[in-house]
Amino acid sequence: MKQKIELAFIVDDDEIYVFGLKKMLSIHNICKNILIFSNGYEALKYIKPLLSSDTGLPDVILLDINMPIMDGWQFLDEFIKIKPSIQKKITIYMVSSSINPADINKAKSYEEVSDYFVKPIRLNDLSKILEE
Amino acid sequence: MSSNQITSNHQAIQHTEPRAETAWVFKFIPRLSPEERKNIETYLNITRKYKDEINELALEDLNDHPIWGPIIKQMPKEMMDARNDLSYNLQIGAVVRDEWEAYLTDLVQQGVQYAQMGILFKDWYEIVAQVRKYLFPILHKEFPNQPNRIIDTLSGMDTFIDLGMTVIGESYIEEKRKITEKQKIEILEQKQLTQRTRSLIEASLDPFITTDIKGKITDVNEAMVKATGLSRERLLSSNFAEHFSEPLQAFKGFELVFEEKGYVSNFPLQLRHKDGSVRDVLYNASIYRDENGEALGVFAAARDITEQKKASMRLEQLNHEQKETIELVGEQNKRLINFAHIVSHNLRSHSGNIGMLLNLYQEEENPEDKAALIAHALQASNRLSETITNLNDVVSVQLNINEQRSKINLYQAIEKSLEIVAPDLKSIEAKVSIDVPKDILIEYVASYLDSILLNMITNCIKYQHPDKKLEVRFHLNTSLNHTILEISDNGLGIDLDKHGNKIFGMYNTFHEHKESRGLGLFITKNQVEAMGGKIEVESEVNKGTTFKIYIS
Repeated sequence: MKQKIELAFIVDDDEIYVFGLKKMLSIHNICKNILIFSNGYEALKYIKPLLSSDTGLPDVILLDINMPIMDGWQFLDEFIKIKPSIQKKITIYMVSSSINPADINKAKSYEEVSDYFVKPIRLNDLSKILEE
Repeated sequence: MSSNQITSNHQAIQHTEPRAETAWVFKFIPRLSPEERKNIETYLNITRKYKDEINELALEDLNDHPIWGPIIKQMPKEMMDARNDLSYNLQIGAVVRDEWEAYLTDLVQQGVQYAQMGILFKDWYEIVAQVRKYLFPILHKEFPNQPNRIIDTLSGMDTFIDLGMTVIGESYIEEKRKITEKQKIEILEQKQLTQRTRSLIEASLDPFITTDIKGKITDVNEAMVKATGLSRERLLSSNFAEHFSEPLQAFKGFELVFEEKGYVSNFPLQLRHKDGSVRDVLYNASIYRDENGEALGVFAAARDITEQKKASMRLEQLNHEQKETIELVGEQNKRLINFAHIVSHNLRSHSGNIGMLLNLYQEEENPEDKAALIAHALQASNRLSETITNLNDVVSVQLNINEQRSKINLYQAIEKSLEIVAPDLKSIEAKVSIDVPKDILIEYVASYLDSILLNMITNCIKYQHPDKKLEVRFHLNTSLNHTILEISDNGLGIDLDKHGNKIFGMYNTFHEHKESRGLGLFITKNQVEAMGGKIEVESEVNKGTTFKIYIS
């Protein structure tokens, strides 16, 4: 495996999944730091004040689709708006239980989304993330 | 000059085609004795010999005759001579060589012609009498002191003239019979035509009328009698315009006939029945004229389009119903697909979690962490069964559409649902008003109504504004077409621009709230729709929300 991910965001409202994912990431020593947000709005609220700074922004976001308040798609739409003022390269992965082709195709239509993983996420998927 | 010669003369002027139907004349071919033959020949030869003298006398005598005068005067001499020669040859041919056919046929033709000219048969006797008169002096000159020869010649003349007169007379009768027959046929045909036209007009299901140029009805058919419910007598002489629901408009149509091309087509009017009902008709009218082109009146036919209109309205309605059905089916189909995805998504997310946790359990060595993984897996398993229960709730709404409706007092139903959450309402000091008549009964599936009301009030409590005391108002809005229960609160509100399309979706929550399942409104919507109603929402963030439930 290559270099560790400095900071990863998990944006997901399913705390059981989040627990498992955190565990997996730590067992395989993939990330140095992980921040959890229960929906898109929470994540955005965190990111906005840090736009101009170099620190605190994630390298990777693992984004769920179905969430209350602000779902994955709404988060992406908001993210696109603030993206020009972000210096750092942030890689976004959609992670969802949905195998609905409409969702998969929609994810592909976003330039900002690198890949779409179907839950449960596997070790292979995580290796891919590291390789990016 | 003989009567035959005069008729022959005219033949020369008024030349007509020989008639084919003269065979009857041959029965008049006489059987002459040699003596008779000789006498006739003598008579013919004497008139031939003295033709100029006879002609001169005839011209003098008949100059003023009302019938023969004009005929003789207008005939050129050469033509008269030529005709006389022809007649003499035919007469001699018949008498001497028995060539009767040619002579008699010629005679008939002339008889017919004179009959057609309107000369009466009795006029011929005048001619015959004249000829006799001229012939006496000539015979005395030709046969002086031979009275027997004079008598024989006169006898021959009588025989010949009698024959000629009989044939001419017959041809007159024949002609008259033909004319009468023709007239009879014509009259009959005319009558039949009139009857046919009449029955055509009567057979028509369309009301027909004729009017004079002022619009007074001169004739109507049975369909018009039926359409108006008025008798033919009552209709005749009435003004046509009074039989329409808009007489002025009818008269405008009438005037158009005269103003424009002489007709109007498909002019829409309403024909009035005496019982007050009206039929939609399209009027087609045109002027009819006498032979000089002078307008006599207007002929108008009304095409009844009431049934057509009804049919097209019915068709429109069917189309509309079909469209609604298609929309409904489309909506249901969409909901089903959506439901399938929801089921798949929800079941997958839990089973995925269980799988993930069990994999980690295998890898984990620390007993404490192992215990934590199992605890989480158990939780995931519980959620899985909870989800299955939820899905079952939804499916049962879809399945129980035929559940029995009963008459329910709406006010009491609201009170009952409020009692269930009374402790919560009390603890937050909520103010609830029920602005619903206490005696209103609605036909509803009781369990659905309870579920809907409870979900509504629970939502109000869940999403109350943290800075305001909750106020809830139930209000019944009855209009002509709808009975609408409105539930308003002063709570958090929902940003409908953002979430409008998802508010009634499954597992969609819009507030950070621990108790949000994202199922309530989805089930509520299904229940309301299963009862044939619909649900609408109005909301403003921080101001409050109003749900409108269309009960009927």
